[in-house]
Amino acid sequence: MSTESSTELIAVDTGIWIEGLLYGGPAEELVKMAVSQSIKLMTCESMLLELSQVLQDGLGFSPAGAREVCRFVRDCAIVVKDDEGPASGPFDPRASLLRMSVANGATAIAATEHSRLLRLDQHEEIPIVSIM
Amino acid sequence: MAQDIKIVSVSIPLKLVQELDQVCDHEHRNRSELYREALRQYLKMRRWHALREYSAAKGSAAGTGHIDVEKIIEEIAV
Repeated sequence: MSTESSTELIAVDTGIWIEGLLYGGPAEELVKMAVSQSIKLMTCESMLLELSQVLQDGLGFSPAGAREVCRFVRDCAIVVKDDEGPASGPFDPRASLLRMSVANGATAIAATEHSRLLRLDQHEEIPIVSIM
Repeated sequence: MAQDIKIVSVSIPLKLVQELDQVCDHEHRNRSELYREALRQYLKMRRWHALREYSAAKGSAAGTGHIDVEKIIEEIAV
């Protein structure tokens, strides 16, 4: 990944990766922009765990297929630890999206398709947006 | 470091080299850096397309529509 500070940093959650993988569309465009280093994507360890679990248990991916997806995510996104930022209750990848967005001071937006998060509209001045 | 690098020679059309050299000048980078970056992006894009193909087939098999993604995440994730 490029380390140029001018590149927009976008925090994304599990749903965005799944949308991009399964259906393409705007979520896939985000991934392609990250590959071409036009933007940077950020996710966290708990979301990678969640992604692997959902791919295998919910969508019938083989363990090797899920592992390859997670390897790809690590190669094209910044993956932060979950303990970055203040704790806000029990383990929840959706709370992780908010925590990591705030913990990394450079986050431009947090992208999700999760309805409860989208209702928040923003979190500590970071816009929470749908990309669909 | 040198042990991790293999020097290869490839043939590239002159016009493409000239175009690349202009980018090198503009970005203050050398040819090798740009070739490496272009190759990395190409290989990543290939991996992405392979994953997309595999994933789309899995999505179709599961009969999953757009609106189901959030539900699946809520049900499956701990």
